[in-house]
Amino acid sequence: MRNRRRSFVVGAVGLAAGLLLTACSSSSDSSSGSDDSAAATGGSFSMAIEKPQALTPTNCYDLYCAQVNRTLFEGLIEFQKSSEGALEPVKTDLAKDITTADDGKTWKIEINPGFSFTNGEAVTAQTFVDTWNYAAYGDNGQQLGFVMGPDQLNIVGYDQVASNKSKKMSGLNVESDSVLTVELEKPMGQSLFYNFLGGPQVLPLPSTAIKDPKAYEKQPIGNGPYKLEAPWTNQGMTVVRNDDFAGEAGNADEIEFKIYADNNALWADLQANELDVASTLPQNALVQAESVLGDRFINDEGGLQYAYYGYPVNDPTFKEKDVRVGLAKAINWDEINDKIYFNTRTTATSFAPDTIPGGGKDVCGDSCVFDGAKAKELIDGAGGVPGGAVLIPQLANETGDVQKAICNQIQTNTGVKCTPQIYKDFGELVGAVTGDKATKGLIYGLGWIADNPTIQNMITANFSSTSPYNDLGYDNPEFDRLLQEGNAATDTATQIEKWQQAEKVIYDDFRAWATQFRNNIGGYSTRVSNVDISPDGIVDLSVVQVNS
Amino acid sequence: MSDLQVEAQSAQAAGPESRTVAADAWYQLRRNWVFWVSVVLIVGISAIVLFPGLFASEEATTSLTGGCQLEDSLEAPGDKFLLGADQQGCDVYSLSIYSARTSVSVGLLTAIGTTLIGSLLGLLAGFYGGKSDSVLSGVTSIFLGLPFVLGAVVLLSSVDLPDIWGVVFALTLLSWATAFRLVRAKTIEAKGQDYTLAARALGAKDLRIMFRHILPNAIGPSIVVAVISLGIFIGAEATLSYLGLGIQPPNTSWGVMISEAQNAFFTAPWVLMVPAGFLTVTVLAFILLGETVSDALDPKLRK
Amino acid sequence: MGRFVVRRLLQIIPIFFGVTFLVYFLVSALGSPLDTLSPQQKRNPAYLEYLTEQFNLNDPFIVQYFKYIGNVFTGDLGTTFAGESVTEIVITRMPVTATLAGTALVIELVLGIVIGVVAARRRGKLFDNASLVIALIFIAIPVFVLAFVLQWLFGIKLGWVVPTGISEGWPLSYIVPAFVLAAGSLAYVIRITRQSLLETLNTDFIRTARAKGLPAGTILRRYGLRNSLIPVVVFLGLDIGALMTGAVVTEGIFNVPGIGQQLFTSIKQQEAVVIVGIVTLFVIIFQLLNLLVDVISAALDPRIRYE
Repeated sequence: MRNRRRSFVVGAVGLAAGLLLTACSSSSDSSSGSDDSAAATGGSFSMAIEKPQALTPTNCYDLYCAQVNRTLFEGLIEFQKSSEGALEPVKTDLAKDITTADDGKTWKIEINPGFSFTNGEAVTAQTFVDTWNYAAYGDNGQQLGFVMGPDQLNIVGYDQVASNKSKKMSGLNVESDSVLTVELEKPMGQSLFYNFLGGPQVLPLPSTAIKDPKAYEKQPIGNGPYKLEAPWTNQGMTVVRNDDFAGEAGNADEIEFKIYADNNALWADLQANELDVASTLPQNALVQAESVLGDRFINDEGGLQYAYYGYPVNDPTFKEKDVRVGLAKAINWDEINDKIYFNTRTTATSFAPDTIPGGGKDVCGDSCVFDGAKAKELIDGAGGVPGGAVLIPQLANETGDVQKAICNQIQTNTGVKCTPQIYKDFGELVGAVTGDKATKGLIYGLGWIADNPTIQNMITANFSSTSPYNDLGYDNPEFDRLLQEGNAATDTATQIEKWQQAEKVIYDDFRAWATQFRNNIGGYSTRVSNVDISPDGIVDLSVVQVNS
Repeated sequence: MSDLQVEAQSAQAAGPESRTVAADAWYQLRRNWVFWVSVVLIVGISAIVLFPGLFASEEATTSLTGGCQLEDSLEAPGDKFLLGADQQGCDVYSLSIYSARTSVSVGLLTAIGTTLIGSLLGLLAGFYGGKSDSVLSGVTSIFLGLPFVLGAVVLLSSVDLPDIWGVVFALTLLSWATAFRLVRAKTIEAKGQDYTLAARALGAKDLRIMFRHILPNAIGPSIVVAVISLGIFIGAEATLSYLGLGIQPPNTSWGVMISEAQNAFFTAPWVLMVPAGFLTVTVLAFILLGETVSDALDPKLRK
Repeated sequence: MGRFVVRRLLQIIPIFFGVTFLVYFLVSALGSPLDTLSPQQKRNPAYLEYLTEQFNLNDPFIVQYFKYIGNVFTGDLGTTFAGESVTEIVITRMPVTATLAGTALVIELVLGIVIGVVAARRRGKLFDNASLVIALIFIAIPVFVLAFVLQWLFGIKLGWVVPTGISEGWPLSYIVPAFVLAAGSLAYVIRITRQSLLETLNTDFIRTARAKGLPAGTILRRYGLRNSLIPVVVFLGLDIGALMTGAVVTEGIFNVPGIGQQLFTSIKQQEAVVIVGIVTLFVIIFQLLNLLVDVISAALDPRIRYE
C-alpha cells in the first residue's frame, strides 16, 4: 500500500497513475503459453515504464519505480488473489511471523535469516528499524516518510522524528537479529496492519543507502530476485538475476526497463515487436489493440482505481437532491466506456471493485442507472438547474474526450448547457471548489488510486469530514461513525460490513458517485508468455517466460 | 492625366520591359497557374469562413440541437455522415466547416498583429539606429531565442484570455520579431537611398520621411511575409492544440479536431484526414499566394 | 575581426540576463511547482517543507532568481524535484538532441540545395513548380501528423527502422525523426537557394562570364553557387536553433531522449529550475550560432565588413 494518490483517472491516460502495492499474481494459469515448457527459464525481455521520480523505495512515489522495485527488493508483505478474486495481504518468504499479543497495539515482526543485500550485507531486524527511522526523519526529505505517521502505521514517536527532534522512533525496538517490535499509537486490526506493510516505502534499505543517498539513488542495491548491475539512465535500466536470492528465483536472466516519455512511442514499439511487455497503452491504441495484438492484448477488469464525480457542498446549484441524481442519470457510462474507452473501463456501482474484499456490490442502485427521460423529469421537477448550466473539469494535460462526451449527454438528455472547464494543475482545480471564490455549477471530478485493497482506503480521504483532501466538503457524522467503527473492528467480516454501510451513506446523500473502474490494460510481444497484470497495475516479472 | 494614359498605353505596347514593378508583377502572376490555384482556394476558404451556413448545418455540430450523439461514434463516411463521424458522434464535415472560422481567425489576427508591431518597431529601430536600435534588436534576440513551445505554454498558462485571444496573443508575442527584422533591414536600406536624402534635404520631418518615403518601400515585402505567415500561424495553432494548449472548449478548430482524432487514427482515418486536409489546403493556399507574389515582385529575378 | 567577435560576445551578457529573467518570471507566474503535485503527493508536511527550503519557494521571486543565477555561475544549474542534477540532465541529453538536429541539418542542406539549384535552372518549368508545391505541402502538414504517418509507414508497416527510441544508434534511429524535423525548413532552403541563385545569375559578372562563352556548368559551380550560398548559410545557421527547440514534438513522438522531451515534461511540471537551465543554454547556443553565421558569411563574401 502506499500513500493514496488521487489522480485524474477520469480522463487522463497513464501519466499520473501510481499505486504501489507489491502484489503478486498467485497463479500462473492466467496467461497463454505457460505450457511451453521448453522456455521455462533464461533469456531476456524488455518492459516499458515511464521515468520514475526516484528508485529509492522511501522516495518511490509512482507505479514505475514500484514496478522496478518489485524486482530489486523483497519486503514483508505481498498481495495475492484469494479464491473469490479479491487481493489479500500475505507474508513473503522474508517474513517468518507478524503477530500481536495485545489486540493490535504492539506488533512483533520476525524475519527469516539467510536474506541479504546484493552487496553482502545481511537483512536483519536492525535493517528495518534504521530504514523506517531514516524515512520518517524530516530533514532527510524522503517523500514517503509520512507512512510511519498518523495517516497509516502511526508508530509511537513519529512526531519527534518527523520534526527532527529525535533520530529514533521510540515505538521501534530491536529484540534480536531477527525480531523487531512496533508499537502503535492506536490498536489496529491485522488486515489493516498487513496492508500498510505491503508498500515499497517500508522495504529494507542497506546501510549504504542511508550513508550516501545520492550515490545509492543512482544504482540502488536491494535484496530481491534481480539486481541492477549499472547505474540507471534516462533511457532506462537493466536488471539481472540475483543468483544469491534466498526466495523464489525469477525466470528470465535479464529484464530491461525502457523509459518512454510518451505512450504513443510505446505503442509503436509494441506493434513492431520491439518491446516485450507493456502495462499501459495510449488512448489511441485502445481502438485497435485487440485486432493488432490478438490474445496478447491484456484487458482485465478490477483495476484498483475509480473515477468519481461529486457536487461541492457549498455550491447552491446542487442544493436539490433531484438535480444531483438527475444529472447523474443523464450520463450513459456504458456507452462512454464503449465508445470513448473501447471497453477498457467498467461502469461502477460502488467505490470498490470486486478485487477488494467486500467490493463489487451494487451499492448505488437506481441513481446510477442511465435513463435520459427520467433525468430530465427529475431536474425539471426540482425547478431546473439554477443558472441553467454546469461545468465539467478537465486538467490541461488531459485529452478531454470523456468531458466532451459527458457534456454531450447532459445536453442531449436534459437540455442543461454543459461545458468542459480547463484547469492547469491540481492546485488550480482544488482551488476552484475549496477557495472563497469557488466556481458555481462545477461538477467536481477526480480519480482515486488505491493505496491498499480495502474499502476504507477507497472512501476515507475523499469523504471523511476530518480529511484534508475532502474537497467536496462532504460532512455526514453517520458516515464518519461507521468508518471509524469499521477501522477499529478486529474481526474482518464486521469491519467490511461497517465500511459497506458507510459507503451506502454517501450514495444516499448522493453528493458523489463512482462512475467507472479502470481496467488494467497492456500487451506483450510474441517473444514472451505468462504475462499478467495484477489489479494494482504491477506485472509480476519473475514469472514471465521468454519463448525459445 | 493624359501623361498617365500615354504611359499606360505605351507600356502595353512596349511589353514587359517598360512596365512599372506592380504592372509587371501582375503580368507575371496572370500567367502563373499556381497563383490562380491559390486565389481560387482562398476565395473558397473565405466563403466558408464568412458563410458556413451555406455549406453545412450548424445543428449537426452540437448536442444542444441533436447533433453529436455518442451512438454514432466513428461512423464511417456514407449516407448519414458525408465524411464520417468523429469519436463523439459529431458530423466531421460540418464540424470542419464550422471550425474554419476559428482557425482562419487565429491566422489572420496573428498575421495582422505581428505585422503591425513588427513593422512599427522595425521602422523606428531602422530609422533612428543607435541606442534604440540596439535595445530593440536585443529584445528581438531574446524573443527569437525563446523556444516557441516554452514561450507558448508559459504565456497560455499565465494569461487568461477568452476564446481565441490567448492563442493569438501568444503567437503574436512570439512571432513579431521576424517582421521586425525584415522592416528594419529594409528601412536601413531605404534610409540611404537618394529619395530619402532628397526628402530630408527639403526639410521633411522624421515622421513624414518614415511614413511617406520609407514605409511604402518596406511594407511590400512584409505584407508578402504576412500572407505566408498567416498560413504558418494556422498550422501553429494546430500544434499548440496538439500539445493541449491551443483553443479551449467549447470553441473548436481544425487543430483541436486533429488532436482529438489521434485516438482513432488507424481505424477511422477520416476523423484526422478531413480536418488535416482542410488545414493543409488552407495553409498551402496562403503560402503559395505569398510565394508567387513575392517571386513576381522581385525585380532582380526578372529574366 | 577580433574586436567584432569580442563585442558580439559582450552583447550576449544582457541577453543572457534578459532571457533568464523573463523565463524565470514567466514560469514563476505559473504558480508554485508544489501545485502540480496531486493532493496525495502533498501529504507529507516534512517533505513539503524540505522542498520549499530546497527551492527557496518562500523567498520573493526576485531573491529566488538571484540565488539561482548565483548558482549558475558556479556551474550548478540546480536540481529537479526528484533530486537529479540539471547540469547532468543537460550533459546526457544534449548530445542526443544535437545529433538529431545535426542530421536534420544535413538533410536540409543536401536536399535543399540540390533541389533549389535544379529548380533555379528550370525556372517556371514543371520541376520548379512541383518541387515548390511539394516542399510547401511539408510546411503545411502539421508536424505531428507527418510524424505519425512516417512512423507508421517506415517503423510499423515497412519495418525498415525501429519506430521509436535510439537503440539502433545513428543513422538508422535518427533518420525518420530527423526528416520530420527537417521537413518544415526544407522548403525554405529550396526557396532561398533558388532565389539567391537566380539573383546571382542575373548579375553583371555572370552575364560577362556567359558572354565570354564559359560553359553553363562552370559558371554555375565556380561563380553562381559560391556567391549564392551566403543567404543559405545564414538561414541554416539560424535554423539550428529552431531545430533544437522544435524537437519537442518530434522527440516526444519518436521517444528520443533529448533535451526537448525533458523541456516539455518540465514545463508541465512547472519546474522553473530545469526550464530556466535548459532555456539559458539554448539562448547561449543560439547567440553563438548567430556569431558563427556572421563570421562564415564574411568568409564567403569579402565584401561584408565588420563595422
